[in-house]
Amino acid sequence: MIDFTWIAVQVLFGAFGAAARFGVMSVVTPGRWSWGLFTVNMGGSFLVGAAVGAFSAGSIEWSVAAVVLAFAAGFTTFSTLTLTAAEWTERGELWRGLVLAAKHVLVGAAVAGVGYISAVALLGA
Amino acid sequence: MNQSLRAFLAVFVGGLAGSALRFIIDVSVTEFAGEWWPYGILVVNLTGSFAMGYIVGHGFGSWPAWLRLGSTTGFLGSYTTLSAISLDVAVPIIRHGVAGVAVMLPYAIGSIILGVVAAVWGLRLGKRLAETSA
Repeated sequence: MIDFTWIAVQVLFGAFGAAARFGVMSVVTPGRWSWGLFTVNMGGSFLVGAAVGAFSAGSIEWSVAAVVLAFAAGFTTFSTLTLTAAEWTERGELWRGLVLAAKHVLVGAAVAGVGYISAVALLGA
Repeated sequence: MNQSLRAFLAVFVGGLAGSALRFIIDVSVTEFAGEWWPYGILVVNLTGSFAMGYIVGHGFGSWPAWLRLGSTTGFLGSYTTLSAISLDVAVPIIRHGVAGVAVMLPYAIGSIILGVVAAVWGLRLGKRLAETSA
């Protein structure tokens, strides 16, 4: 049976994540390499890695990890990243656009891995 | 209403709608395609990239600032996600080593290339339609 309350909680935390992203990106100066976007994407990637690592270590319930994942899903964004990369591409700087997108995706995966391994190492038995 | 409060509210409401739609599409696509590969998030990120390119390419016309912010930063920003890609790539690699790399690296690279292509396509289509309707 579908648990609509649980879905509503996850959607709500996604919206909290979006508002937090707006707050962070308003404060962190974008600069040449979109640092505000980089900050939210790496911060959210670390959060999800740490949450799943803490769950794997048996330190938190899945419901807690799922709420963190829902928040991070709204906190990070892919469409702003691809739009920025597309704008570089349209200015004739294809490689710069692709490098920007690759940096977020690949470094984001590495950061999530660091979060996961750190949580397992710190909280595991 | 205070300008910054209105902006936050627009992003929050857009974020609610974006998160809900992401949830629905991810669950529906996963139901159809299976759980072994993150097709749901790929579909969400590619359609969101196209829509972001289209809206920005078309221009906002007479849209008020709060609607522009709510639809882009709020709705599409929350609809698409990077943390799910990070997690879907990192955890299988940590748990399964080379096998994880073989399965998830194409997903990461595919997301990058197809995401940029979708946004470029949206930008160009949006600009073209804006020019023809002007």
